[in-house]
Amino acid sequence: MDKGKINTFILTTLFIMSLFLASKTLFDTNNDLFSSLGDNKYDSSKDLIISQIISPKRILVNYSEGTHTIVYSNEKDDLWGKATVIIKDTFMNDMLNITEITSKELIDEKSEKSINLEFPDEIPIRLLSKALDMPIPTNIEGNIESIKDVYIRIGNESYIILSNEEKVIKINDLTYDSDDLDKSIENLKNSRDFVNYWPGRIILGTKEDVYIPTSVPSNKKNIKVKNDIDVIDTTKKKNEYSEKIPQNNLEDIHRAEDNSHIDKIAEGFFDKDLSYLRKIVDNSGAIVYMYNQNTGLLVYPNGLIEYSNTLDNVTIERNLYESFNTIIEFVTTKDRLPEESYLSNIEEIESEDGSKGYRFTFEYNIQGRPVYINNINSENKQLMKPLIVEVFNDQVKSYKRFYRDSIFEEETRIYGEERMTPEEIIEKNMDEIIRDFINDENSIAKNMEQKIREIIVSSIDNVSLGYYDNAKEYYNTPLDDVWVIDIGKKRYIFDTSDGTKLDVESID
Amino acid sequence: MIKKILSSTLIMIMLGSTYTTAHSTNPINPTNVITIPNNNYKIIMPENNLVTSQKIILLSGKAEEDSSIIIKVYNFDELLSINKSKLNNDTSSIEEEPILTTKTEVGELGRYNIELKLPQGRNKIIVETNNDDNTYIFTRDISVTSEDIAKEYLSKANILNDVDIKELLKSIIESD
Repeated sequence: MDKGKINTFILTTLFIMSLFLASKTLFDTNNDLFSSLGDNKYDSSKDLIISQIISPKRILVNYSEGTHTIVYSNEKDDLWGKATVIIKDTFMNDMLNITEITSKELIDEKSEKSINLEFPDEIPIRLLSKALDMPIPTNIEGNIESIKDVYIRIGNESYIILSNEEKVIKINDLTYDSDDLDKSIENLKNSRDFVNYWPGRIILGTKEDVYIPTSVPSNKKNIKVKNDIDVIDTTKKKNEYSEKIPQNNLEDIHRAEDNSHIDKIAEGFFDKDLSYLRKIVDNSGAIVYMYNQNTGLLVYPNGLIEYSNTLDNVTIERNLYESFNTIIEFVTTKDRLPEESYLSNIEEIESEDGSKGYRFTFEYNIQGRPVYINNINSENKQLMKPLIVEVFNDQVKSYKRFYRDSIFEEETRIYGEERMTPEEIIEKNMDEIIRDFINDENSIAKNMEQKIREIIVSSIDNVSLGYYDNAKEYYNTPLDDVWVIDIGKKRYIFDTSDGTKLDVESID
Repeated sequence: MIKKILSSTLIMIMLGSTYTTAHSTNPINPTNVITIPNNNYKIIMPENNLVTSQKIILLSGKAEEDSSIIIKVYNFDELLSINKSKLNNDTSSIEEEPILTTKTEVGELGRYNIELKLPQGRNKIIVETNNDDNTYIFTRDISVTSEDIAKEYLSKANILNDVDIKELLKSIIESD
């Protein structure tokens, strides 16, 4: 090629580039030529985490009026994954036929072949958009501000229903292909672990939209968990007779000799070398790291970690998106999220100095079932939550985390053990349930006392399976196979084998 | 005025006397089998004369606390030429052995729920509810067939439901 052509080519390229760059300063475009070379790689992993964390807590699969089942996300067939394909496909279309329907109509729809994805809390639409990595069509955004449930019809008709506590909207006349989902749920029905949930109003006479099994397959998983952080009790080391740390019958547990691994964790949190931090070991075995008067890290002997910080300035207006990004950044750089974690609660909070922010709660499943953790600090009637953070836009004020990982080598299956049905368990614990209920409700009219059982049954909101971690030992704690039953203002956790109440939590 | 009072009392008497009629008797043990329906004992599911393709049926019923329930399932797989006596509640004439027998107790909540796996063909479920000296017996006839036959049956059964009986009667009256 002769020089002339090369020159023209270089000139035109330079010209086009300058146009692009100039346009960026003049108006916002989405084209980001250079960021693909830079740190986009890190950003995309953060996006991946966001799309995994914002996921339904559970999925109600409806085959017909009498046949339903409840599964939790991330199970083998990945119903949520298949559902997101359909949801994204639907959201690409801007001309959607949307009608508002009643919550009763939504309940009736659950008698048709479908799945209902249930988020643990109402997810603001912008956050969902970020998780799906696509914009929400304007007429959906205009109609509903946050989403709690996503219903997808399967079979010969195609429509999606989005709902929250106050509003239910139906997106009609869609054309997605539900064969993949259909096959998955049919496989589920034929699998060994399938539990048939019947409508509660038939089984016990509960209110609508409650589903209860009458029989449970008799195989159960035996899963053991351990702390992900081992805090060695250095105070005991002074006594030479207790030099041998008790081993829990497993000879090859390799416990650390000291807490230097915890020093490293503290360094990670503050992003500073240990020499900049002041370290104090409490009599109880807790370790405190202080960076300055305002920032500290407290590590309890049971592995609970609490990071706290004072806000630099007052946050006048809270921004959900910014706060959420901040916490994801914080967690992914200084700590980690357990497998199968999900965002389970969003709460608006205000600090003492009037700053407005959010409290995010994260929980995790193990092997596809939610884990409920014993709160050893039993003053409040709340279960321990794996991760609770308080964020004010770009500042993290408090970060409290307690993770327990499963030990894969310890998993086994037990067959043939009898398990009690929810009905039997409620009957077994009826006295306590009635006492709690009357306490919560403050007064039951005299003539209602005979009807108290009916009132209790009509206050059943939810029945599901889960795992309970009594968190009493650092290593080798077996998870209890439990029924989680919500009645009135209480969430009860019952052992499936003998119906004993393991824990109870107040819920609103 | 008097006419109105007279006709309304007549209507009240008629309404008052209807509830005692209508319940099938059961010759098992005439002395202590209750024939007057008691609302505290009944079967909620399944409905009688059900035709379905599902193999697992939920038997759900109501009974008073501490009742014991005995459930027997009989199967007649000849769909044609069924002996008439097998179709009524005359259990003493059933020669076959039940293909399934199961028992359960009723607790405080006053309910019992059992999943029954039924084979193809005509099945008869007999539920005996015992509470102290009282026995209540219920039967349900369930036919388990293939999906196509069940669908056809359902579509034919629905035709009658769609017809508005009121309109039908109206048209008959008006045509006179």
